[in-house]
Amino acid sequence: MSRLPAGRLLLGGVGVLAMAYGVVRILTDTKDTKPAALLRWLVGTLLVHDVLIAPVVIGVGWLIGRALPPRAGRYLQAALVTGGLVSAVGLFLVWRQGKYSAASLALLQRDYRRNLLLVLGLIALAYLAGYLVEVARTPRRGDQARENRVNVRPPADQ
Amino acid sequence: MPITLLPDAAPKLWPRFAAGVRGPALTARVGRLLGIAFGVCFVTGLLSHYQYAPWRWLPIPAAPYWGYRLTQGLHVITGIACIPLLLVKLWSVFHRLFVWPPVRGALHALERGSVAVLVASSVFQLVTGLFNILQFYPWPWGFIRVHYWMSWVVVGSLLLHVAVQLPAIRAGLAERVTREAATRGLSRRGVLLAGGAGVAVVAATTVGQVVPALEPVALLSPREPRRGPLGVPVNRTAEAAGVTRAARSPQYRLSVHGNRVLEFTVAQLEAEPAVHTSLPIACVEGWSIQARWQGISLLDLVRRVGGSASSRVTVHSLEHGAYATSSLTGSQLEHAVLATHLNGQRLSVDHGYPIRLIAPDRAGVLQTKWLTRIEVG
Repeated sequence: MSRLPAGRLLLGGVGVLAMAYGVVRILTDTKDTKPAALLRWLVGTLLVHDVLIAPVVIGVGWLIGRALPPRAGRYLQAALVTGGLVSAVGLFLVWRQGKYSAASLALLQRDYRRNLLLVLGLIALAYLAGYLVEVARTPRRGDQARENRVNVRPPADQ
Repeated sequence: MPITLLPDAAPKLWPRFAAGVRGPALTARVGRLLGIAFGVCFVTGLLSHYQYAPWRWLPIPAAPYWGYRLTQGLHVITGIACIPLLLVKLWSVFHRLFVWPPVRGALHALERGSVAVLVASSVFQLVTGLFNILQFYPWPWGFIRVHYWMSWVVVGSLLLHVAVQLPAIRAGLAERVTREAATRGLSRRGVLLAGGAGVAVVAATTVGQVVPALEPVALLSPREPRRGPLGVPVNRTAEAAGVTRAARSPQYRLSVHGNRVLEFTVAQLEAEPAVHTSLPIACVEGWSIQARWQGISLLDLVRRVGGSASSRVTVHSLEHGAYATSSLTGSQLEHAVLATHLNGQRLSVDHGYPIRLIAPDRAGVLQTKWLTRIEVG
């Protein structure tokens, strides 16, 4: 195995030390950190992403690629990427909305269901507009063929 | 040394993902942005942590008075924007989860283990951080300590990851981002644009809780800083703190202890010469709002009991619990005001009536409310 350059070794070494510091502090203050529950959460969040979120995202993308014509599929995928990322934050707000009694908190007092739908609607409109503009700009296949025929016609006798 | 127990080819049921447009060109670019964002969160997080326990010889400065407002606003908004950013980053390397063989040797196992630590701690840190902003604690541990120590794990495993992957990162950044779709679907450029749009929309619709000018588009900000009583939100009401009765009691007194002891009734506090200031309430949960305050100069009181600008002053609240006291030294002490009025009106009991602390560049939970005792050391 080739030797690592000193800079990378140093960077990695600092990383290991920082990691060790965090882990040791977590493990030495068990009353406050509850390591067993913490570990369950760490593994749980990893599993939720790797087993649930990522496969669903990749599966939906694959389905769209199969089911729709390439250009429409690309626009739908892009819209779902943008909208999905916004929802990744927005759905937490919708979920927790209305769970706080004190209005003075000013916490989650908006109508997040309506707001999220509004933002997602605007995103959908933006991509739809982009798609329609691109469709309008591209000559239809029939036109293209006709144009091609015009272009390939041999020059008239002169 | 290769592990010979595993077959050369992956077994039939092993998941197979074509890399498609995923690859170093995309990963390195998203990763660079995410690395910078994590760096911002780590540094601003350390600054916030320092607010709670500053060293005696290095007190929190009073200037700029909006310092904590800026750094904690950055911390929270950057952290929220990291959620979509991290999802894009993880998507861009997901096929690598299923490389065959899964482990090539001891070093490779360690490296993969450190990536698992990085991913788990990052997702954990962002999700629990968001829950904290939403004051939602479905776990048995103390959020503040775990969030602080876990940040060392995140940053440590990130540095290790960068050290291991540096050649791949360099190659990825040198590679062009192609417009052409490798298979059916988005091109690399398309993924970057659509993902970037998602991150931008999240940031734009939440930043209004720190930047008042952007509040009209803050459709997804958890807080509305202009909405509370007297134009300022209340994080902990008098009822929740259990001080309503004591704060309104005719027996209420504020005592100031130094070389001698001074005692004030509410009427005497209100009769003291007033100073005016404009300072923000900047909450650790990321929202902030500038407000006008009127009250008594803390340093004046400190001097009247024999203290000076170099004293260490501890203020005590009527409430009991984690934030019942806080301390001031140095330039924060010089500029601190014991406020009786907020935005031109007498403090309401939820805002800290009869009197509360307000000082520049200071975390909101340390702007102690319902003061009853001041110690000058």
